[in-house]
Amino acid sequence: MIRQTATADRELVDAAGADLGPIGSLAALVQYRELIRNLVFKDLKLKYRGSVFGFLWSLLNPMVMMVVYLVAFKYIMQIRGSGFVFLLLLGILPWTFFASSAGMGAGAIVDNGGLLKTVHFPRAVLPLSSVLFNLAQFLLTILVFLPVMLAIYRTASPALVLFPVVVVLQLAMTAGIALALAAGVAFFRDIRHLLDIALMVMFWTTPIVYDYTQIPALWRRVLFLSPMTPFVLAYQQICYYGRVPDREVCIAAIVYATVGFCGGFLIFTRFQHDFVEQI
Amino acid sequence: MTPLIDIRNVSKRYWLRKNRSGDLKSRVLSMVHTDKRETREELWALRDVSITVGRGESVGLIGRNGSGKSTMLKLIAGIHRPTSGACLVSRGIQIGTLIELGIGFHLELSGRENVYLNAAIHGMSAAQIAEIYPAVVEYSGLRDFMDVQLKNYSSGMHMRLAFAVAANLDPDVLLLDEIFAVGDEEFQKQCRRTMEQFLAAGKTILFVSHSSYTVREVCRRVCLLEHGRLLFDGPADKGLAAYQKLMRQPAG
Repeated sequence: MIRQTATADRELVDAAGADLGPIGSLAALVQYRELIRNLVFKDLKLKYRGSVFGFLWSLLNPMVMMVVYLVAFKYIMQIRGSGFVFLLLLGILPWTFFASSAGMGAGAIVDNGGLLKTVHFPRAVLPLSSVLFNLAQFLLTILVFLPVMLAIYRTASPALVLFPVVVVLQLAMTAGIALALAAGVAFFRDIRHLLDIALMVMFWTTPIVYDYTQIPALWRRVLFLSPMTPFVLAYQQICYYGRVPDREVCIAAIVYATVGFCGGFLIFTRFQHDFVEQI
Repeated sequence: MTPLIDIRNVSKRYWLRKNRSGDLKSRVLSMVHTDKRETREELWALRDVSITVGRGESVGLIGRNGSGKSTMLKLIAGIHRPTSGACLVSRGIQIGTLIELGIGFHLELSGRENVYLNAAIHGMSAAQIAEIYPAVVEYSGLRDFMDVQLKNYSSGMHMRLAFAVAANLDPDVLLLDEIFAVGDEEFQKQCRRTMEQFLAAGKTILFVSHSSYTVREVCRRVCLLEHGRLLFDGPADKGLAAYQKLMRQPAG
């Protein structure tokens, strides 16, 4: 049963892998993909195990939110726009993916102290599996809602092939932010509280409950300061308006995805060897 | 021949933080209240230690509590980094660590799910895990409990499962920290048997222990640490004698 140990003499390397660099760290992550997969499935199982309605809860949450906003905006405040429900859904679901990933990712390092102190593995596995868990939830809910909405509103178009591309870009941006937050919280616990406030502000600076086209042109640019704005607009333009997203939306999405992921990953790898002594 | 593990003049400093708080309020307040200000005291867990370990060796790390044994294991495992010096390992070798049993186990998951998760934490691929799974079940003797949630296990069963995973990870180097302190006699025998099989297969073991009996049985070489310094490095019987002598002196 026990494998004979290799006999060839090999060169010596740093035990902690400190000499790996960003590319080497990325390669180490690929090696640990089985761990990422296991952690994602663990979270999914634990979330629904023991509950009678299971996955239905994940559908109920956005539905209740939509009803609340629908009543508030359409019937009480009398703001009428066509496609309100569909546009709202295309905002809420990606937003939930982003906000939950940021929240879980922020705690991914500090909440796993025992593991970090006893086993050596690529630390980025922890925040990334939080993000992928939320991605799985997002995809499952969108797979239920999207076909229904497309059928009701009759807005299916060839532009839908771009939908997965936007998901991948949002995933990159979200992963980068989760990595940066996980590293930041290891050193400054305040960031977690700050995050709650920042997410609240961002929720209202992203065109989720209001229609982007009804915003004065001057303010539209300001909305792009929220990293979620281009992604929400892209989903809405692809699914509801049935067209390729505007040029500035595409550019902003690509910039946020690239800068977000690279920045977050570099910050994380720069500090990852110091986490264990901060928790 | 290149050694498998090469520890060169390694020192490790920890900062002991008093009144540590990560939040902003107490940081601001501490500017006024000097007695609540965060103070840092340095603690040198290891000072200028050099050890090389070759393939197939079994080395016992002995010394008092707080002498730096566990820090040494964590440096080799790559969990901590040395403050100065270099802690090098042969490229591409797999290092298995058993520093605490059952870390990363989840009470709500079943035995089977925990085996998969735990093996993955130690870097195994899906195919490798599927390959060792039957052996893990066999080794643990918990065949009928694999689909039971871990929260329904006794602490002894919990430990057996954790060690069964560790024993089948099949690393090139095994780092063990005091796992014999727990468990019944049968379990301890099983652990020792596994270690003997490991050594017979030409693998390397570094082993922290306070039990002279186990050290003598498993290790041919011991390293004695005291206040982070390497006092002795050589044959097990001489090292253990030096340790006994040290223990008769008052700590200080």
